Amino acid sequence: MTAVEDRLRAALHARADQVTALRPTFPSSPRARAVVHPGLRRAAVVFLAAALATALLVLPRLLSQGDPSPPADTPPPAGPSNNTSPSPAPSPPDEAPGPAAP
Amino acid sequence: MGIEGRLFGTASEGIDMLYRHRRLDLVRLAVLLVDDVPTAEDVVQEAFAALYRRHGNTLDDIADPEAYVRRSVVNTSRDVLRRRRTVRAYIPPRTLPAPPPEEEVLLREEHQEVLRALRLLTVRQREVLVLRYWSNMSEADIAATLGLSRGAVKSTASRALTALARRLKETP
Repeated sequence: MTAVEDRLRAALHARADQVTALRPTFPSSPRARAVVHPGLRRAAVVFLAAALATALLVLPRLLSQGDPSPPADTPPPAGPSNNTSPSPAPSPPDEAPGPAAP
Repeated sequence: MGIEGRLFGTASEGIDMLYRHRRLDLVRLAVLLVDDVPTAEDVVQEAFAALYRRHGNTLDDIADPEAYVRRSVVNTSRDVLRRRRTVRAYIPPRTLPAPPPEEEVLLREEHQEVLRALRLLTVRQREVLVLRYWSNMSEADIAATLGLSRGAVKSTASRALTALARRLKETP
């Protein structure tokens, strides 16, 4: 082995030996991610989107069914006349028109 | 036989144990190829992520998972180096990422000289020398890792050593 090879080998080992502690990321998760297969993850996303859309469609109806507000087409109040136009208000008896004050 | 077969039964445990047992060595290999530890850690992380993306839980169809990940680390490191060299062509050198000075300072001057000379070689020459003189791989294994013929590995190593010796002589 030549001197250059010796020096190269020594330098590479010295540099590599400087790396002793790594940042504590644990298996960026081969194992954790192994639990959820990519195909299953995609299916879960589709399922969640469908569930959300269904909820958005159904929820307003469910809420309106429980609403206690009166029905829109209530019958008109009973009265002598069927005329629905407002009757003129009677003029007060004390306030008869008189001469204008000077 | 890869580490998977030696240590465990299920494939999922295989990935996990491969990560636990080989991560440090793989980061060291990547450091020798990309110079700084954070990038080397990213490279190794990406190699394992790619392994999982491509093969999911199962390593059954990989003959030697350790060699597979090592190859992935070398390839990802090469991408990093080439990207860095492309950036170097457009950005003034002062702003480029460099090996952390504190790590350089702790190395003896003679080692620093060699590593500086190593950085001036081509990416391929550097890979061959690192795999040969740090990983102690045979020419056949290096050829398999880099996707080269054995003859190409031999000639690349020879030219790389010559270039390295020349650069070391040029160093005052």
